[in-house]
Amino acid sequence: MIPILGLVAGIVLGVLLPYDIPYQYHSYVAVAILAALDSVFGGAAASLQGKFNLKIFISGFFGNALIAAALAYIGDQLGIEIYLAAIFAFGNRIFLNFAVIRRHWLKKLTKDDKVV
Amino acid sequence: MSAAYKKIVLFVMFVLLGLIVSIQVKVIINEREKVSAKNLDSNQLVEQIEELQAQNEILEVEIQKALKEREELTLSVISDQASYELETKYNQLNTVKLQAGLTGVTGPGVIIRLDDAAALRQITNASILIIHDSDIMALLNDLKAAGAQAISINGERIVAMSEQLCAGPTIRINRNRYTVPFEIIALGDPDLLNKALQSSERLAYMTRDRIVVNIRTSRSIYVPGLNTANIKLGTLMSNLEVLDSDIR
Repeated sequence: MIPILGLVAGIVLGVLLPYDIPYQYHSYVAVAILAALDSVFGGAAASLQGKFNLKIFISGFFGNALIAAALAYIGDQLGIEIYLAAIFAFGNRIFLNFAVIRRHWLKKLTKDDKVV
Repeated sequence: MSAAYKKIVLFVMFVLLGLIVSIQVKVIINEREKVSAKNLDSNQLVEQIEELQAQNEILEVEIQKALKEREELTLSVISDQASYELETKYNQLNTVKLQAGLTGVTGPGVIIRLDDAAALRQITNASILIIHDSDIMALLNDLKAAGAQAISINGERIVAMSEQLCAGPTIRINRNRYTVPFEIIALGDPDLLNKALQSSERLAYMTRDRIVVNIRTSRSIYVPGLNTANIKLGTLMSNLEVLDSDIR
């Protein structure tokens, strides 16, 4: 509940605030968002399994976002699209974590052990 | 770490995520709009306008050439036939042309340059900084009252049917559009015209509003004849019933 409330509050705040990130940084921001989303899905999966750790979540959330953005920046400077690696890695993990979440809920709803 | 503390941290982090996502989406949407506006490509439109203007100029020269040729042909026909009647008619035609403002004329007069006031002042009503069609009309009337014989604005001869119509940021004269600065040339007694301008109520208001007004007199100025290319005089004349054909 808290995450959804926070997300909604953030989106509203972002729409209302007159602040913009310069367009030339849009690819770094996008990659950072992807990394943060990865942490969110990871956190959700972990909390369903009862393994959620706030410290790991925070460090992953900010650390992954920063590293992804930094990699994208370095890639731009080197003329190679390293951000694709970040997209692939985080995208892959998002789907994996989503699979964990999916199985957890299906198991809970159908009470069918064969799903796992 | 207490549970409440954890909740606050979690909340703040998701606020951050939502914030950055919505700002990113906003930036991307803005950029897309900019790109689609760029696709209109104002450069291409400017090029088209310039091309058409160049074409117009070429055609204008051709028209002038053709008119001159017609004039020469008329003269040669008259001299060939050596007819007194034809010569009288030709002279009459020239008089009418002069009176109607169809011919270019040279003479003494005044040149009035008008430009919009510089928008330096903080002003609530910017309209008074701009030259309006009514300003031009009032000035023309003042000049006519002072006995102006021939008037042109930006090289556009003013005749009985000339309009001075406000068309957005431009003024339409003889179906052509003109922007500031306006140069009004009025032929007549320079002293009389000058005095009329000095005592013109409208001009006084315009100078008060700091519209740029620059008047000078000249011994000899050229005022072009009416360019009839844009005006369908022929159709107008053919639909009018002539009641009194005598030219006074």
